[in-house]
Amino acid sequence: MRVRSAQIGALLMVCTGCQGTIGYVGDPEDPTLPQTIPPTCNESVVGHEDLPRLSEREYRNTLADLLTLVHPDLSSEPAITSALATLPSDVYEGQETTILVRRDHIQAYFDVALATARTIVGNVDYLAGIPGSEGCLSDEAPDEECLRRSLATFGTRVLRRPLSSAEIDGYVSDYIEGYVDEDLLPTLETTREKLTALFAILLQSPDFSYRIHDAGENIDGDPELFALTQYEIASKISYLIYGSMPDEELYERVARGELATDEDIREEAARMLGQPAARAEVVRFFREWLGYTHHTEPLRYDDEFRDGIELAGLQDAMTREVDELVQHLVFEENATYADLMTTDSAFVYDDNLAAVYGIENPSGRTTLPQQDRQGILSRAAFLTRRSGTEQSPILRGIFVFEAMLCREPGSPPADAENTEVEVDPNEVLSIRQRVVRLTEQPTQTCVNCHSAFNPLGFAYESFDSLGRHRDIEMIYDPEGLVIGEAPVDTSGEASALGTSAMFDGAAELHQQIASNERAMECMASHYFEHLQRRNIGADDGCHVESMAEALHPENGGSILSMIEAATVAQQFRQRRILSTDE
Amino acid sequence: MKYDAIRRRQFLIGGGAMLALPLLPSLLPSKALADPAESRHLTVFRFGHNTSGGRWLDPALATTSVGSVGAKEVQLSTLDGSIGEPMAHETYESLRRRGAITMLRGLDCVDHPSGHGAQVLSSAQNSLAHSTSRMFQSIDTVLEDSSMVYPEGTPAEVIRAIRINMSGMKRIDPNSELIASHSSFAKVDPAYERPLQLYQALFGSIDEDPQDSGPDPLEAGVISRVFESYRSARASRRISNNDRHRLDEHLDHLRDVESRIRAGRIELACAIPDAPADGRNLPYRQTTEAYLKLMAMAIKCGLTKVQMMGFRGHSIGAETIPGLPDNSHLHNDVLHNEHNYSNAQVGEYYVSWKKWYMDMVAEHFIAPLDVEDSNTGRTFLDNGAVAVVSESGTIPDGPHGHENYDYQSVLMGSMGGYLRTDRLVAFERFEQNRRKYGLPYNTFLITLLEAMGLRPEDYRQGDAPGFGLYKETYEEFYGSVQHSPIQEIVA
Repeated sequence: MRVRSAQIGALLMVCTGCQGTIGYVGDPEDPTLPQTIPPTCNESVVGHEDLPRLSEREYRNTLADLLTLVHPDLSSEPAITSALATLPSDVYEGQETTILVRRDHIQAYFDVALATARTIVGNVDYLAGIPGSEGCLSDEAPDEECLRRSLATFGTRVLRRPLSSAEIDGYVSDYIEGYVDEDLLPTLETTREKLTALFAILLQSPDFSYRIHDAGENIDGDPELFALTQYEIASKISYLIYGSMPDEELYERVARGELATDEDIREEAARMLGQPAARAEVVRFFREWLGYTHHTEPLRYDDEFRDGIELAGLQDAMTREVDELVQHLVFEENATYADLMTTDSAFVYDDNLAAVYGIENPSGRTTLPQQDRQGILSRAAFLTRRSGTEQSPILRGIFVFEAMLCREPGSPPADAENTEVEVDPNEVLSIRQRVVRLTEQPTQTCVNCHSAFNPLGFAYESFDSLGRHRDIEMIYDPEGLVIGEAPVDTSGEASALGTSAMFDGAAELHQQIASNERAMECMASHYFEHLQRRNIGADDGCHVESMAEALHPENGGSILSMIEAATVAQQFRQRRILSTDE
Repeated sequence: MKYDAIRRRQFLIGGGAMLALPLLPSLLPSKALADPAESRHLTVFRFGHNTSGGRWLDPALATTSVGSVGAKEVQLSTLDGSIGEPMAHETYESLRRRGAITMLRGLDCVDHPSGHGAQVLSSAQNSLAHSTSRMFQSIDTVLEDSSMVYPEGTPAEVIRAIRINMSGMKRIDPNSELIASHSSFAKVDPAYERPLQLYQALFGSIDEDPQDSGPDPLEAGVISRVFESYRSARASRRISNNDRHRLDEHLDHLRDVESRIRAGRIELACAIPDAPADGRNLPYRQTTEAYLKLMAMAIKCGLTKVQMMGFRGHSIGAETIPGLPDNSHLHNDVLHNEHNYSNAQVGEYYVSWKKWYMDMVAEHFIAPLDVEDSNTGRTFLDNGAVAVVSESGTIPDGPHGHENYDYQSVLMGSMGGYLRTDRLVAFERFEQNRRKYGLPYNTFLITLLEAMGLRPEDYRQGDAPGFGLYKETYEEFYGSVQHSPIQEIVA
């Protein structure tokens, strides 16, 4: 019974969510539709860039990297980790919500900065390790020259740009005067207190908490458009590739003025992509893009359906498989987009995940049995995530429609609920037949959009809701009793790809997506949104186009080359601000 | 790093008004919070899943037309019997007879077709993980950030929002100390995972002799310079107008931090209670009681104005709550009825589950607040309001899916006279295309926000009217009404 009732519920929910006249987003034939891929590139136009606050993850990474410059043990000091525990999480890390500011962010910044400053000052070894100080800060009374030298070097790492002489003067002046208070509180007298104040202030600077890129020259006299300085480019690349502040090699390169040309930047991006920190960020992008970690409910199946597969830990194993596959493809194989869509490699350590895939003795990297399993989208993490409690071709189809092709189902038509079709729950119908009956009748408005994305989901009908391969689908009545069976039908027409290509099964669908230009543009668009932390806009065409070109097989493209292209693009090295409210 | 002390001072006090910043601890907050105008508070108890409409007062009892959108009402104090089986308790009965309760039927959540994921609007908690495509701040976040609720000078010891989420995780892992847990459904920060943590947060930093403590010069020196660096950045850096708005928000929050630092220590208006028991594996009932008692004390002591407590149906069975099936996962087994119980049996389980919590709320939270506050002449409860809400809407009985209509809600207390109490108000639900439409739930949240003193400009996002997410269908029926407080329950 559970199978039938839940499935119908899901169907109706999605049916009411379709749009009467579906248009492909970004369709040049209908420019009135919302765009998720900019249609054209105009070199003279640069999209705007907001002022991003460091996300929780970036803040933690940055603080850890900064403190490691001081001393390898510093970032794990209990006082600091305890204060960091109060830092609020970001709801949507990859999107524009990370630029929202809440009161508890600010309180946490204060608490973390103070705890960090007190910890540094309370330990002679830590104080002696402040970059640029050459140990002078651990003296009983550091002199002014010591302060200036420390600020010049350590301050550059904290603010991710050199401090001006006026800024250094200000910090030094406050230090010497003991931080005079407007309410006439006692001034700070001891070196320990004053150094604590100095570090705590630095660690709450706007340039630490935000990524402010505004020091470059105006371009073409446009007051809203300016070039990024080399320090700013370094910071921007570093947060994109590492999710943290620049490393010392990058700083040294900038100090030499060697981050100026396309080749400089491409070379540096390539170096950074070879570092361990880059892997986590690429995985994070894939997680954001493909959403395979968003398990909002635990898997729930009865014993008969599970057939010996234990569910505890299975979702984690599924996530790990895709995480490792992504890293392997991107970093070991320098994979193309086509590789992503056609790979049969897998990383399976868990016995239960191995049972899902029908393999034995899992020990890590393996090749999956064919069974339509080629391509990243045929992995259990996706098949279960897009299934609800039972497999849903609608949800699976919408996922491909939205995430892989950047198309949107749109809003429900006003009369959607008038066109619901009654289906006898005791009729022997496969899920596919039931979906067609409910959503693709010519008299329905739902058919306009369901006929576009349903077929994409039908390609995965050879996988049950747990991701196991099947050739036969069991059909249940409302009481949960088997009343029939039907061979699965995975054939369809992928009109959403902009062609009329027919396919039979996920592997054939993936082959078509693998060479589809719109799909590659879509991946580039997602990476752009990951990079800019905002939805794509009409002015972003050139930046996306340059990434899509770098991904294209005609240009020998790969996923790594797309990332490098993102950093080399002219738009990456410029910033446009909007003088009017958005 | 130089600053102009006079200009800064003016900025701090806001708008040039000569409000003296409290420099001495004796001037502070217990008095400020005891001011009748400042004594409003809001506590929301929220149940996961639906509310079973058949187990509550029948909305058909409301027969008198009221307001402009077809609502009907009845005076609760004139009715016989309880307002619903889950709240059949003498404490609630007493409130009903005294006209201190308000019930609402016919509120719809417009965010999500299935009601699953409607928590953003219904929960009054930040629980955005389920709403993957859209987000909106929950009201506890809006309230804790509001200077109308927590004006300048609010002491550091005041907790702006207390969030407890009782997940029932103890049954899953008997060795776990996670009882009130951070879950994927609700953002709980800070996560008071044990009552003792909440106790320490509330009372751990209270100075027994506040006259001896004052602002910390180091902290004051740091925050004033940080403030100045942001003010300077806002004025001199090349950033967009939107960016400046963001830095304005940052500055507002810095000003709050600075105010609390300069305020020094709070002088508490109540006796510090005994600490609750600590340790692993405390009985679930004992833990729940301890939280409720502390939450009541937090209000009576002036240590918060905003509290949210969630009760989820996962992993709770008869060993925790009598009347439930043995060893059950209430969410799966009962609410989704994977065991094929009869509708009547599901209803019984539903009542057992909710009544267990609501009985404790009555005894350990409502009753302690239902005593006179000498500063206002009202009861502590009547100074504010306590809301009982659900994750999803109402169906008559039986297995409870995720409906998005008829979010039955109960309010206790009048918010210092703001609310027109003693009413069951049922909104006539318009019907179109075989679908019935109630008043958007947004109006309920707006009512709570405005009851706490906020104005539209304090809670709306950008220029969009109202609060939360809207749907065109409702615009047709309710127009601008859906952007306003529920007039039928505002005095």
